[in-house]
Amino acid sequence: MKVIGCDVGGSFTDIIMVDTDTGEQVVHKVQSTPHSQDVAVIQGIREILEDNGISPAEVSLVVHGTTVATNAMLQRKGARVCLVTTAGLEDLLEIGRQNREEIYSLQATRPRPLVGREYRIGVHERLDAQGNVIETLNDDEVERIVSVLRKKKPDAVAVSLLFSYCNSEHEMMLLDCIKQEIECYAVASSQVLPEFREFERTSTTVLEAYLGPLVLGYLGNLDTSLRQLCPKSKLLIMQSNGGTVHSSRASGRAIGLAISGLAGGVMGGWYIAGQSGVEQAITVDMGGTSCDISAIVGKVVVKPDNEVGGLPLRVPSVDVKTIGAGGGSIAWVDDAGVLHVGPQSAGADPGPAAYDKRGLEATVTDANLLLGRLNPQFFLGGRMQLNVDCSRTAVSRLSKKIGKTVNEVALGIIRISTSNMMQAIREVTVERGHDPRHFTLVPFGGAGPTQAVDIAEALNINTIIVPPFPGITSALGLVCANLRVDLMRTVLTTDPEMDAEEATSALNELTEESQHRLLEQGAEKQHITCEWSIDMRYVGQSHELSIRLPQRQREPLSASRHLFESEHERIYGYRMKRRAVEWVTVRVVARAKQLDLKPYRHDPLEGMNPHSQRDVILEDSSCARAEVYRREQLSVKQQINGPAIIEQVDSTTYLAPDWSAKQRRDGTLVVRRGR
Amino acid sequence: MKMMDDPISFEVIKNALESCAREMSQALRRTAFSPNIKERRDCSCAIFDNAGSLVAQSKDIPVHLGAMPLSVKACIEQVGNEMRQGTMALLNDPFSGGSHLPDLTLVAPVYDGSSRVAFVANRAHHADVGGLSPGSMPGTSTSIDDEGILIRPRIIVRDSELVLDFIDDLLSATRTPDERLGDLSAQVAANTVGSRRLEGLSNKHTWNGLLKTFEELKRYSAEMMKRTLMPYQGKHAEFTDVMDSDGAGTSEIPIMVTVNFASERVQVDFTGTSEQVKGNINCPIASSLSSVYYVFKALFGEGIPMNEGCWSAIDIHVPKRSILNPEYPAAVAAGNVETSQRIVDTTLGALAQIDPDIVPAASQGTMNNLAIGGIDPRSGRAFSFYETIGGGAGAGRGYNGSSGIHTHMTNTLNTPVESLETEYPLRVLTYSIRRASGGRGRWNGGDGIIREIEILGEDCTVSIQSERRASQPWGLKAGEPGVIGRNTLMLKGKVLELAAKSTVSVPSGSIVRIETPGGGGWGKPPSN
Repeated sequence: MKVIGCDVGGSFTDIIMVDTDTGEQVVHKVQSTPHSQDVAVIQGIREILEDNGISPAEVSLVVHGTTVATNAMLQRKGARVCLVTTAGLEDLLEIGRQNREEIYSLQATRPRPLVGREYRIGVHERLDAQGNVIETLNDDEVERIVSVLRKKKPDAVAVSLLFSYCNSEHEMMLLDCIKQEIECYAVASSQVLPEFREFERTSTTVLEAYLGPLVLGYLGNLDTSLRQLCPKSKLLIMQSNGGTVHSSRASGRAIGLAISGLAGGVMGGWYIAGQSGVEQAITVDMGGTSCDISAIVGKVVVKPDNEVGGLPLRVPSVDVKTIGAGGGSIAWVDDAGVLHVGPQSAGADPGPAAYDKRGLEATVTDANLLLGRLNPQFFLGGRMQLNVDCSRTAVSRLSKKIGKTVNEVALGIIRISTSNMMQAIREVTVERGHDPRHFTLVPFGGAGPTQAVDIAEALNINTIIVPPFPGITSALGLVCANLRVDLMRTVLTTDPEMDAEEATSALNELTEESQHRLLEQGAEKQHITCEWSIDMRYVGQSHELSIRLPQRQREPLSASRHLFESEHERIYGYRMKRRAVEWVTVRVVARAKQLDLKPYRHDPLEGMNPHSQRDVILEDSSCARAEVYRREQLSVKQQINGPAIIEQVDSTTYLAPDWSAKQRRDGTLVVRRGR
Repeated sequence: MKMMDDPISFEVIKNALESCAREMSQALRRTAFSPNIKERRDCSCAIFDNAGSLVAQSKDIPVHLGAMPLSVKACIEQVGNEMRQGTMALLNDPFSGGSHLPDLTLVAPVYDGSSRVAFVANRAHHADVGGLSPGSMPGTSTSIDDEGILIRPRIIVRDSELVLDFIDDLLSATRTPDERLGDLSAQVAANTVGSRRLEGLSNKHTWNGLLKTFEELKRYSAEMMKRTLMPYQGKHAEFTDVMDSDGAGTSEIPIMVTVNFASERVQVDFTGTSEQVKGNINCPIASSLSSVYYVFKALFGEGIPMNEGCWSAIDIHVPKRSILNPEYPAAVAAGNVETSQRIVDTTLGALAQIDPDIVPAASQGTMNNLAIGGIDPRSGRAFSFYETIGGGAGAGRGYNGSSGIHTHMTNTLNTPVESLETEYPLRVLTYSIRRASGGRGRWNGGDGIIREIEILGEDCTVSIQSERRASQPWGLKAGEPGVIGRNTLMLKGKVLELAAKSTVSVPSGSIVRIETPGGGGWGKPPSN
């Protein structure tokens, strides 16, 4: 059977197809269609099948990473949302937690709330802290809310009432009625995030409403088209947590896809690093539009919170940082005559000037072309011709403005783009107390390997590992991801009268529920693993430690108490004698392995001579003759010394002088400083 | 001038120190018991060299951070000999390194073998340390003795264990001993985490390497600050602002400052400021200095690492026995939280005379301290609640002020309604933006907040310390001032005005309503 991974970037949509029996991998790239991402996805899948003579019926699984949700948040293009909240607290979304991000900034600003004041509706009802009704929500009030909503004509409604995590009755009354009476995407906070702290719960619920219609509409269209193309295939979507979910299960969980498109890259980069036994890696996924950076020490970190475009959301997410630096990033000169690169991108359309599609702006890709790093005849393996003259015209326009030569400007563009990435890498390493010099760089995306040596030089990194198919590494990450379900339930019980039975049965029920959901999504029982944990604290604290349990404890609470106390001592240096312990939330993470990826094998050939030679412009503006190789023709153990260029269909690796490379049997290309 | 040996190691160690302080903060609030610390994060952590100079800090509360070096120095001076490995010293003495009594500071030495090489310390605002009224933030105290227990530096942790005998006076003074113990344990945890993290760093970089970086850091910040202050050489300005009242009968109390950019150094002189007053707005010297440091860091120190070097070029003169440098037994409860905000307004006001383009209009200029205590009918036990409320930020050239936000010397979070009602017999009825309270301008000042809390407890006392209830937060360059704040009490349909500083006993069912001031506008408002 065939499994397809499909990752949508700002400029290109990348496809990888893996044969589950032989491990054979083939890859393909098409231009993205930003207005409806599904068009390029379907086109890409159709083409990879046709190119390789595969029948669509052989495809059993398509795994997809999408940026639909991310883009909606960054560009503020989500649904028109009405918020229904407890009267008196309509401004909560605007006040947030009343603090500012930077303590010494006099210009304390916060992102504009997603729901404007006139769309925040107060409802007369009230619960107390135990969930008892103080002010009843009566039918007239529900009727009034519905009629107000009807006039506002929202695309989506978020219902978030005080203390709904204790008692969801009022929220459900409203939700049911809204769903019946108004055609819109409606969600309640007790379903989206049943946790205390009203601001965090409300803003996460609003975000679900904001993203839901768009994400579901998109997945619906894609699913329909895919069924027509590959009738036997399932569609799985990458979630922010680095695991996948069946496309039909995304309703009410759109925020779980907030950084779907980024997670695939992190998983793919880490898969490559792990394959090479690397413990500390910086993954740099540089596509046409943006660059996604993560620093991994030992394992991929999944954080409980995330933030996109200044919008906080409490959803488990892999730790990754995005900046507007890609091959399509536009170079420009400001009023003061200073050269800048990005964050605007020429994207896929019109694309860099070299695409010769009406794009007049000089981009990073244009600079690479002029410096001789890219081959105009072999972009995307020759499927696309690059026009050097167009690049020269675009760059010379900038060179006139700042009085430098075209080559100097091209070098400047690369240097600035590199320093933008360096800044972001420092944020995820140096600022967290890690020395980037001890990391291995894993560059991928179409543009990553072309600039990898520049980045490594800037950070004093000595080793670079280029994946076998750099341009398709995010798609590879999709294919090797596990199905994943995260379930939680608040149990809140305190010793000595703890309700061990409730917690135990909650864990068992969640385990069953998560297994059920995985089976429903097509997992096989023997491939499912479950992880139990309980969030615990001392009575009086309000932050918990998450205690992982060996699975299937007969008495999980007594087992966890001891683990909690030692963990509290390990982290904070003390345990509290005679202090009661509280069990707050039980959690189950269930994973199902989708596919045992057979490692890619690079067939060793006889040492190949360079395919050709061409001039490249070096860092100091001098010109040198570089040998040009084809990646797939390299032999294992053959050493290539810079200046050299290694071309392949989906990317180009550039080696500066003083750098050398060796192709390894596992498919990776190891680039090192020195010879 | 070469400021450092290896710029990359410098940067790595600098950030590692900051993340060490950040982890201390996290440990403190994650293990704390009182909502004021665990939810509102009214606490700060920092790292100091062996002489008590600030080396690195977490992004917490400005008024704490700039004042903590004096706490560490007070410990070195008074109990330095006793600060052996595994010990920690506690203090809150406002006349010797402290700010006001609820702020308990815990200082721990860090050792390299047998020699002391550094300190880690944290400060947390405790919800009750005794005194006349619950919350230990009385509106109308006239002596430090009214405000709670005063603790001079003393060892309370030995062999890394909190010794209960050493704090029995604190535990018997407070209305909520259980909570205090929990919060103090959290403070011990924060320092433990900090020391451990520093030791880890020393394994990687050696103590020699770390201590060298401590020096480089201070030198670097000092040099960078000097450079950004340079363009203002020869400038000179003065400004006077007022405190509304001291809660004990005096009103319109002046704070006056003269700022003089002499060659390479800045002189900030508060001569002309009122003498210390009877009420509790006297501001301990550590908090006064902290407020001036804040202004210079905010205006001239963008991107410069915060440490003692940042203020090495600033000479501050504060007359003895003035409200900004009071002597025992002055009442000080509101000085650290209210007067500190006015020191910022005054200093900014002076700098606006020099360059209004870099200075915003006045922000709300208060923290709106609200303390409520009494008996919780649900448990029959005493409770003590404390919070501060955000308001409008001043507008500046090119930007509107934010609404409903904490400004300048504080950055505490709000108490989530769901936490507040779970822990205390209180109910939040309204929490909203106070529309149109910001001053109009070319750029508008931010709006204040309205917060209404119904009191369900028995034998309750409400204490308020607030400012800008008479004088408006000023606008700049013809921008209009922000609207003044207002405190009221509602009971059975009657509305009672409450003074800016007040402590009142209230029956169950009363509703206290705080309307916080708006920020000033910047530039002439467009005519309609």
